[in-house]
Amino acid sequence: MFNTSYPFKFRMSEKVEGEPYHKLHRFAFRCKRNERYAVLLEEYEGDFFGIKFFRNALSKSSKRFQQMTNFYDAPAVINTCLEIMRYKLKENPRASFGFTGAPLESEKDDVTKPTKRFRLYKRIMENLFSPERFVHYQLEQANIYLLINRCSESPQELAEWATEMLRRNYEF
Amino acid sequence: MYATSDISPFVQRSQDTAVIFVGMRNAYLALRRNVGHVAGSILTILIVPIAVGFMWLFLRSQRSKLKKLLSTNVDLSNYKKTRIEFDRLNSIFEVIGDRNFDKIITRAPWLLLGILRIMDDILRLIRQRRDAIGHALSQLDATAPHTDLLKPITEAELWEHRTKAYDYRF
Repeated sequence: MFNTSYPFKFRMSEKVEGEPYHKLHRFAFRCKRNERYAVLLEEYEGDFFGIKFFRNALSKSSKRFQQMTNFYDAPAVINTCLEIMRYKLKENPRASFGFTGAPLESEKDDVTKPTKRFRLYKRIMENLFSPERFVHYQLEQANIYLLINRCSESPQELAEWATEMLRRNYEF
Repeated sequence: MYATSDISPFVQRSQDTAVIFVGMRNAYLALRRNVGHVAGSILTILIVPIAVGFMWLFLRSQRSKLKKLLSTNVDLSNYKKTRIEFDRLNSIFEVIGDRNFDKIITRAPWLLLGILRIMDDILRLIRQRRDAIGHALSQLDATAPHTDLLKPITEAELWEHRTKAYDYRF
């Protein structure tokens, strides 16, 4: 299912101030309808990367992470994001990752259940990321999934930092 | 379910031996159920000693081959292969039972003692490998960082939920 991906381009890395992450890495690719996608890797301390993607056409919209394209192209788009994660891992073998599964419009009011995107991404992570290399965490109530690299400098410190950051930004 | 290349020679031989154990048990039970006293006595005198002799020789060779293949060093760099091996070894004990042969040996007829002792040895070798893998896998959970909020998903849970046909990419 996740065999096809689109060729992607690394656009730029920029230093960021006033955000919890200190660097932003931008990637881009075009899907089969020639629609442009942007993938953002937010670099936090401890080689931790938050990954986000959205259609460029929606970049100004507050719903850019929620809207469905109805292109039926999710496997290839998600696989391209996985390839970008692989690219980052090649560059930095200590990289850890995290993401949230944004709710669909129809799921916005029901916060009790994990979102459809979260369930899908979680399934992909279970299938493709070996527990020998990554420690998996899920916070269903916030639709957050974390993969802490066992090779990172101090996995325990990274987990503690992530806990602190999550507590600051979410209600648990 | 799994490709043949995913199975190590130790597991392959262990499974073959387990199939033989099950076959022997079934043959013994079928004989007890279907053969009368007279025929049973004749069988015991004429055929069983020869069959037991052959089985003893065969199981002895299986045991020595398993001994050669046994390794208690677990390499988790190929996690999928090791996990499949662990599942397969566990399934052997599910089929034949994780029984204590010491008790059975004390009650068994003397003719079968030799075979039962070798069977016990073989199961001990399989158990040794299974426990070594189990220990290595449990270390993955033991060394996973955790906090009051972040509870790692256990290795067994991750394995249980995944589609086994996929290869890990990362």
